[in-house]
Amino acid sequence: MTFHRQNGFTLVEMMVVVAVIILLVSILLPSFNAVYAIARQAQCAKNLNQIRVAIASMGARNEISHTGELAVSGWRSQLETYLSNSLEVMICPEGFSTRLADDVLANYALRTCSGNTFLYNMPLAEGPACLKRSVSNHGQFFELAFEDIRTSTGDASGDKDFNDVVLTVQITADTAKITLKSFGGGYHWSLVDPDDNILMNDVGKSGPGAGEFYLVTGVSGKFSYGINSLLSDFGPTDRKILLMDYPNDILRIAGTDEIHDNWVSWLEPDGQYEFARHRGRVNVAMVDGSVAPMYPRDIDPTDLELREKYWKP
Amino acid sequence: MSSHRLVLILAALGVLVAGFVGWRYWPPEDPDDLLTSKDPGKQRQGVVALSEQADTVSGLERIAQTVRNENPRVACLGLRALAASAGPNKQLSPEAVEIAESAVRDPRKVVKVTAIQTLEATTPQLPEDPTVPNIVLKAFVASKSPETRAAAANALAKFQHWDAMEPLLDALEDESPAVRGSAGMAIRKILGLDYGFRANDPLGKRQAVIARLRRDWKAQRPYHQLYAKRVQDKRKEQQ
Repeated sequence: MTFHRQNGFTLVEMMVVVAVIILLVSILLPSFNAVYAIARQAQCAKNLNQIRVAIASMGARNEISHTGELAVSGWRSQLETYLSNSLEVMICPEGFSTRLADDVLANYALRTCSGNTFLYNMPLAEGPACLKRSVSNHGQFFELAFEDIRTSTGDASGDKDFNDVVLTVQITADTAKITLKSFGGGYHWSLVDPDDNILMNDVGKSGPGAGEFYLVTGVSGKFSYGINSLLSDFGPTDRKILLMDYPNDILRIAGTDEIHDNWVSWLEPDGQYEFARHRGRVNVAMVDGSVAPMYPRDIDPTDLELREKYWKP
Repeated sequence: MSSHRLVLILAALGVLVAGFVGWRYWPPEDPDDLLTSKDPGKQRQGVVALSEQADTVSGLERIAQTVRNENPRVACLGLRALAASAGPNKQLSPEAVEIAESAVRDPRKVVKVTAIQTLEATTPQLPEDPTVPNIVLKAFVASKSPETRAAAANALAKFQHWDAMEPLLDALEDESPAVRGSAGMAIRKILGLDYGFRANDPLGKRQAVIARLRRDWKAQRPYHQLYAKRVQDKRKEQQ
């Protein structure tokens, strides 16, 4: 009988080796994930720096408003030519927010006047004075029906039929078409933008009638960064926040405009800020050119000291 | 099989077994140690670990103890754990609301504000049960701290709590712009109308708006009731 010494490994040996390799990989994998997360954070910081340079290229005195050089809804596309005609840098590799048309439209309103006397603005959003109805096409088409709450004498004599002003809203891609449908009652209404500029004056009376429309652009889409509305008030070397990872297009903070202040609440189910995409931190670009990851609580503008330090001009 | 191969296999198996035992039975770090850590990642782990205990009586008691911790930062993390325990439907149990309510009465401002934010984050718009809005309203009326009053006004804005209208109207004349601003925003949300009150406007302009609001607001109650019913019915449909 002859014995042959076997070369190579048995099946059991191979299985044990593979199992050990799997064990080691499973231990090391979280470290790899952390490395990739750091790489994504670095890419995001690079994006922010490119946007900051593009803003600086546009001019030192940019202003974010409907009448300013950078528009509230559309500042990104205005920067496109300064970003090699590409808006890729507007998306952080770690994630993005989705702009909802309802949130954008809520900043527009119907200004209600009795004669020349201003009474109130009725936001284009469902509420006590506004009914959202006839919703179709997966929410892309709906009517906003307003009730003119007759309170000029403190009298609640409104008929609650929600037919005093009716607008239709049709959303296609990133544009909302607001069409005047019908009018009643004795007040005067004008469509105004978030900065209170009149877009359609005295609709249904001396101004545009039924069928006339206004297009609001930039109502939906993906984005990762918010820009500070007060950037025109900062000097070029100020260490104030210019851009950061944020779920809204515009950072309106610093107590100058309480109706638009929009620092997002910190509470997510795990107790984190929802926009702290980089392992609990946000990338922040300062006006002076520095970009750094920071914990949201370290720049929280609801803390008066931090507001003074990072936000207030 | 040669003996040295056998030794190698046994060693490898030993590593595997040790790895499994370590992975399965390694004692988790105590949430209290994690919460007191200076590392935010560990603090986060502590919040999650603590919140996972919230479905038991002893776990809730542990959260309550954390909220009473003498270190305000740890107390606030305890409140975060309480909020995290609300889960995807973001509603607190009555026992958890009691813990948050006691934190609202805490003498430390930061704990008080965090407790109000916790209640805000875990209570829906126009809730049918007014318990939480009433807790916040009580804090709004009783507190003298502008930060607390502003946080409470923000929460009342989310709840669109009609019973808060009168104190909110009074707060429009507060000396703190933060309180005036938050109260103005809350009134806008509750009425669904913007009368043009701005906290930093000149006094005369503000007083004119306040006078119009005081004249009109009660007449708008029926519209608020209709809207509350619409919201609550819609929520029931979705459930």
